[in-house]
Amino acid sequence: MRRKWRAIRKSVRKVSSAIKTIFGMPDYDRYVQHWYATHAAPGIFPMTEREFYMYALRERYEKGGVTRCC
Amino acid sequence: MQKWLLSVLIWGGIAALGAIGFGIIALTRGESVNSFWLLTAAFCTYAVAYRFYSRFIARKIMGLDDNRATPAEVNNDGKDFVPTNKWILFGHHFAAIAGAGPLVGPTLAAQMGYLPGTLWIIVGAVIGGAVQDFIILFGSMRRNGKTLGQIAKEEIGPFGGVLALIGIIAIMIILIAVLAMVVVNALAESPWATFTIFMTLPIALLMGLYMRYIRPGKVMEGSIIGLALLFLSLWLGQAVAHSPTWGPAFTFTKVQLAWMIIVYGFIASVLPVWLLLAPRDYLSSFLKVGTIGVLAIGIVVTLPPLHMPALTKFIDGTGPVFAGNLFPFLFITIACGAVSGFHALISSGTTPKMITKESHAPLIGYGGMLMESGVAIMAMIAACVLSPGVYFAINSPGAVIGTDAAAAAATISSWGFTVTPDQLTTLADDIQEKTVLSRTGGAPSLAIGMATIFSGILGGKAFMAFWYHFAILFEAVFILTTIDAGTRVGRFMVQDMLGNVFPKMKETNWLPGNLIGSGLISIGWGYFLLQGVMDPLGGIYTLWPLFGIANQMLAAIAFTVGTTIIFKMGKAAYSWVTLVPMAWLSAATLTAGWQKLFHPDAKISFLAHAEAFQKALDAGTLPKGVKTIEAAQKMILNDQIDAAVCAIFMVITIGIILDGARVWINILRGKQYPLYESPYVKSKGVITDGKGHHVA
Repeated sequence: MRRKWRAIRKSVRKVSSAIKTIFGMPDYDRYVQHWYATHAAPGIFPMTEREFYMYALRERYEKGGVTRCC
Repeated sequence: MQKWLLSVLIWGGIAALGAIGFGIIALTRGESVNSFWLLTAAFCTYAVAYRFYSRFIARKIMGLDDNRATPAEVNNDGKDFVPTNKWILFGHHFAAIAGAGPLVGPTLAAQMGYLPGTLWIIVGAVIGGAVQDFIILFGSMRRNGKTLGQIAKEEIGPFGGVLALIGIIAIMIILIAVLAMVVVNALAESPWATFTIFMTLPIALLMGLYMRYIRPGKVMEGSIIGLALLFLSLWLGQAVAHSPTWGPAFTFTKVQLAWMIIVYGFIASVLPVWLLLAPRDYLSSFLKVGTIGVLAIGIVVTLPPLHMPALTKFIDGTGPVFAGNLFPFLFITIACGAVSGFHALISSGTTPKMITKESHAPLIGYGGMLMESGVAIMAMIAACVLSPGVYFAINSPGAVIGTDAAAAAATISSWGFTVTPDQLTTLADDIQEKTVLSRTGGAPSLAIGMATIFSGILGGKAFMAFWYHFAILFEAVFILTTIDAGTRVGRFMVQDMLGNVFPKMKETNWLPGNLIGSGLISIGWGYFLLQGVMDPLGGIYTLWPLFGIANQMLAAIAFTVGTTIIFKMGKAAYSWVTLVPMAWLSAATLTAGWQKLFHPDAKISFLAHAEAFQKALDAGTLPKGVKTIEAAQKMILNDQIDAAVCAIFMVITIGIILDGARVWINILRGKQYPLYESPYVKSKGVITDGKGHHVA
């Protein structure tokens, strides 16, 4: 039962990550995993979820790039 | 059976089926054609073009190489540069390019019958639009995700770069104005739709606060709450519209709505993004893909017959929806869906930073545009399932067909499209709107088309009003998001330009700079919007061609950039791939621009229109449909400004093509130019998405 539950949660997370990527929404899980895989070192920490959210919004909307079409 | 033989048989079969589809839609006369044949012709053509033409371009010109690392692999930072599964990236790219354009253009073009528009949507996409998107995506991918403006500056030269930049700001202004016009025409005198759209503001604010403070970063939760509230307000809208106190409170004229949208655009551009813009963007992205999906399901399930004839008499340029002959005006009326220059901005935006392997580019660049073209075909079908009389009643300006059902029915029937006043009032009652007459802009027409299709599947007539307002809500929400996001992007461009003179202006978080930039850009598009709202011809009639010219000008820029890249890569022998669509588009755009300036017919030319008005004033009379002398004088000024903008677009188009041609001719003469691609980095091969999943 528990294993089944875990599999369901995993696939929900996968779908939600795909949806976030399609619509250009910030994907915190992806960032954290990337951070631990490549940047992690003693004494430094990744952004918190709120910091990352605000950072991602700035990147998407405050850089002057065109993100949608007519 | 041998594999190659099977492949020949399958592709031969698809090609033959497509040919049958074309034969049926082109040759049927006098009886209604089923939409199945439009879809067959379109999708068989897309399949063959994708399989053969995109592969031809990829191999012969681009030399796509999976051993070469993409920007996503080289710069992988888990934020912007992220190797992404190719189907998810296809979705990302499609969600970014699809908007109101491919829904509105074909609806307007249906006035000439379904055939000319359908052929242009299919052929234009396959040899024009998809090629443009693909080659710009490729160019940007090989240049670490640079934007179209930057690529133009590097590959063509600083002069071409500046022209491209001015062109991009100008198209933003016209685009926002014309889309705002569509929303105004859809919401005017409609309390149900207006209430629902108004409710999106508090809903977005609530979502913004939720995602910032209550559950930081939980965008999916926020969006689900937002969508639920949105459907609730759609349902409440009906009660509001019927309430004797609330109904009138949400009934506004076009002028009032135009001012509200201008103020909204300004505020959304000034406020922090987390509060209003980002939550609205999420809501509208879901709605956009939702509408398109629902429309596709509806059409495929019902396969409705088309009531519009293949060709109407309006191919001679006398149509009420937009003025001018089939050539050039059909080709600028349908921009998005066939060739849309705006896509070049998207193809050089976030998508190239997320490609995992070079070989994914054909699916995303070429295939993404084919999908948008399919959306345009569906919009064409939705317009043509209406009986032609009803279609013209919705889409013709009041100055042409009159303002009451009896007059409109008489005028339209005199064109040969029989319709009774009763039909028009019954339809208005069915969708619970005051009137269906002269609701120009394409959105109401599409919504009625969708409501007709859906009420056939679910709910019947009783549900028609809900389907209608559901479709209007969808369209208005995602158009408004283009307006607020576009105003913000325009603001950054203005601040960046002014920053060359006053460096302080470049600081985007400096409030006075923010206010000045937002103000300038809102005044810019607001001017054109108000001009459209006051126009007795309903605004769309005047503004949409201007938008089409702007969009195709941008496409000419993109093709010039693409051709220059091809020449610099030493593939001049294949430059016809971009030169042919560029020649066709610039011919259509420049002819249309020329006619908008100098055609003797006041219906087509801005200057002839201004002259006719001036003559009427000089003679001491008022032009038809104009109430005061001041209004007439103002419209003369508007005509002159439109003419000037049109002339600017033409100058930019010619300028950039000449600047590009200078480079091409020099290359043919043997001059060497550097190609500004990023250096070759060997790919490490297998790429994972950071969680250990292989995405390549």
